[in-house]
Amino acid sequence: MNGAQILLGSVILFIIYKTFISYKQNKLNIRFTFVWIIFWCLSLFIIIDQTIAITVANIIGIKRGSDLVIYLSIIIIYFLMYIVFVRLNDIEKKITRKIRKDSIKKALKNKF
Amino acid sequence: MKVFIIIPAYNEEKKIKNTIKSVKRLVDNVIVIDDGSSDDTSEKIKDMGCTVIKHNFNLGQGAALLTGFEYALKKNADIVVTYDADGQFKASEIPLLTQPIISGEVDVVLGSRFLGKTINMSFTRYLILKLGIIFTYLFSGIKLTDTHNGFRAFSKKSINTIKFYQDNMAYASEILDQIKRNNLRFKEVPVTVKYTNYTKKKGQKDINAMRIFFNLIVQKLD
Repeated sequence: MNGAQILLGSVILFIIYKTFISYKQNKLNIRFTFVWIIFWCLSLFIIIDQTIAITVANIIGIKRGSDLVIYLSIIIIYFLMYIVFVRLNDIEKKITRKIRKDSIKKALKNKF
Repeated sequence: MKVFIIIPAYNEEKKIKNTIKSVKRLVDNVIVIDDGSSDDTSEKIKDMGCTVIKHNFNLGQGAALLTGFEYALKKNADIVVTYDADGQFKASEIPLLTQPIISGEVDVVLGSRFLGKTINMSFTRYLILKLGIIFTYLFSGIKLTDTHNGFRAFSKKSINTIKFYQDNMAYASEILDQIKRNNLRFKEVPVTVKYTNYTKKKGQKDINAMRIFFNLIVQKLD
């Protein structure tokens, strides 16, 4: 194992540990915790045994394993951004609905 | 027939009193939606005999109108007129908008500055509005001379039918879309829109047209 693998591996193990602690503190639900830990375990596996990334990259037609990892990371990031945007939009609509309903209720009671 | 007027207002303490004075005698009920103003918009009009509904936060004109529509329906309005708070419109033209609905001719009346009159409109605003007409025809299939005019009148039936979700200015395009989808009878009438230094400074920035376009594209894809 080289220095980069040890450093990245340590960071990932720390992330997995923090995720587990957050779950124990009820800050995360079981589904998200499970998916997140699996994701980081796979990442750890790829860092330790890079031949997997190289093999898959060659099958797909990409030269280097690291390029495959970067492409996949970009796709995943954009997908997560989309999910966050949709959730934010939904929250904004709920807040608007609540504020409007409360305003109408107050007005019907002749208060503002 | 009970005619209500809905005036969404955001930081209009300078203009709101005169606007209400001008419209009051022409309608049965004036509803002002204070959309989270940080000035004294509500305070200025609390003794003017109108209904003031206050949002705790600024939600946008679309949301303000939705609040007004919902309240008007609860109070059994037959016709609802939407009107800007900044004094851009002429109150004397309100009957032009309500009469076609009272006579049963149409469900929705849309004011058109291009059939009527504009005073001091900038060329950029003229261009953007004209582009808006093309955009509306492409997206909604509805042919109009003025697609983003806040001076409109709706029958009770049309308010119950039209559903729009955009909180900001994009609601205007949504309303037109809904008119088309629900086969509501509509017509345009000539109205006057006056641009002053105050309204130009306070009104919609031209760049908002891009934001409206983007929001509507996203909604169409949804």
